[in-house]
Amino acid sequence: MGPVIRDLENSITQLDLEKATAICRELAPSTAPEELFTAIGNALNIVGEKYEQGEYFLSELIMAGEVVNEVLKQIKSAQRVNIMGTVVLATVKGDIHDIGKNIVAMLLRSSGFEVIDLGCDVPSEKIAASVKENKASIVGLSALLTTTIAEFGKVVNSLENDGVRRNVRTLVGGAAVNEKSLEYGVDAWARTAVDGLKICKRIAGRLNES
Amino acid sequence: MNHRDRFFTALDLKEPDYVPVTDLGLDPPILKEIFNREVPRYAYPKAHPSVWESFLERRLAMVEACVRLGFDATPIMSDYDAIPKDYKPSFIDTERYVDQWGRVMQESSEGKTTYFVGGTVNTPRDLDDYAPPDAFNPEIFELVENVAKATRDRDVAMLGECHSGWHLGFQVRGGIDKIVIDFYRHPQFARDLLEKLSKASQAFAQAYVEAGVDVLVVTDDYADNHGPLINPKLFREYELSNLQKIVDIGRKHNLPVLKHSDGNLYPILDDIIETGITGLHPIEPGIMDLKAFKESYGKRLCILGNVDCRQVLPFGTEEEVRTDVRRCIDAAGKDGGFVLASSNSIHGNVKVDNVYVMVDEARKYGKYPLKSK
Repeated sequence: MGPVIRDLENSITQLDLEKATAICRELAPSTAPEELFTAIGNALNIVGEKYEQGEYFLSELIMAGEVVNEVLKQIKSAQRVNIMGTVVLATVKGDIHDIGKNIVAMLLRSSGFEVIDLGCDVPSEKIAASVKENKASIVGLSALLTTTIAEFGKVVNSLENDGVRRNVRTLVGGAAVNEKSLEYGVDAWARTAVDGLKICKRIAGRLNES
Repeated sequence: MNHRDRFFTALDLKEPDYVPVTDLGLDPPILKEIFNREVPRYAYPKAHPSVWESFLERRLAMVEACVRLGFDATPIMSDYDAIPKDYKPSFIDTERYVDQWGRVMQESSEGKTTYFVGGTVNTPRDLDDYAPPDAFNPEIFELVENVAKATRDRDVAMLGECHSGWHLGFQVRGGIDKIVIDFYRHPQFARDLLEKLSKASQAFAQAYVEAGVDVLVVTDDYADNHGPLINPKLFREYELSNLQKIVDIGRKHNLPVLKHSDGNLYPILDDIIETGITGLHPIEPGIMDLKAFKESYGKRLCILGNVDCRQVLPFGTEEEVRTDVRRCIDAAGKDGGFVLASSNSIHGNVKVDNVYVMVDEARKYGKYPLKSK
């Protein structure tokens, strides 16, 4: 990695919007997109680590996402960019909490995913229909309330009823979620938004290889 | 000792006769079950002849429910419910409406509550035009005063709930993400928005004082399970002084000021305590350790909470509720300065019978001197 690319990485990590976009404007026309995405990915990993270590807070995660969004605009205006995959996100029916889901959406978009955010209190049928319509490869479900986590199972059933269960990986997160949530037939659970991003990247990596 | 004395003795960090009990809110399905009749929901009832009267009816029902449950204090008003008599909700479509604060709200599919989905202040021009509710609008003040009057002669302490700036700020702006980006990219816009909401919140605190409430409760959430939603520097720059202003209003009139916030507050806890708050609610279970908190801060401020309303109150058996109440009293009841309450509110999924059990166990296990270790 060259020094200018490292500057891009550092400026994202330090949430320096002006510097990051200025570097990217200069680099984007003549640099391979993989190299730019590697720098962005490294920066987001560092931001995620700082968040997990308590050095950064939700505000820094949000601002890092904003910096990356602006950087992505520069890259997209200069070259064609491959999408990592399409993710349908929703807070399940009966649950109205969306802060965590919104952060996951922002991190995924910043990392090159196409995100279809269905909002809060979303019935399982609507989630399955969106997966089918958008040919999504990942479904991310959020639940803060223990009263609503049984909805995960309903979403899995709706995906099966719509014939798309095999095409999609299901990931759940939120305050009510733990490893017991896997009993509802979902594929993975995430402790934090950053954790969710890592899992989506792993899933996308495997799908793109196959 | 009567209910009021019991509550104020705990706020004074002393031992009352029993651990007092209260809560910051009871959702309409709970009120419906307690009274076995319909109580107006949060969403603006489209068919109701007067939204103002429906809000008054719900607030009076909440006071009555707290008295019936045997609580020692009751919320009488929240700034969320502040509307003049001619207020008509502004519906965007069949599901969403703009409320009096400029928040876009939606009723949950089960009708148990409403939730915030967006804001209306997107530009500096929107902010110029933006007018939050005025607590001293005579019809809004009448709403507050009517509930206060109906409660004043009851043996129950009156809580007036307001915000300080941040929480309404991010909602009116359309989300935490938007206001955080403003902090970095458009700081003056963010400052001006919070200044407007801080002033509106101060007016509510002042109106509650004039209506005769006993305690101010500031309800802005500052944290999630991980930590503060904004970093401590931003918190100090944009919000701490807003909280301080509400605390100052309380102190000027010799009223206790309680602070509510979910989540892990540790990185900003000292800032919050140094404003001079009287008590903190709910020391979220599983996130902040109640016993450790009592040991560190129990001599400086009253603790309110923290019966688990995520799992135990909605799903728990009677014995599980009693066990959780005893957990709270064991951890925080020693030497007084503790008020039992749920870990957030008596929301629509809580079993009402479990609330009665919670109060019953507080009266049995919470008798001073405590038997607990």
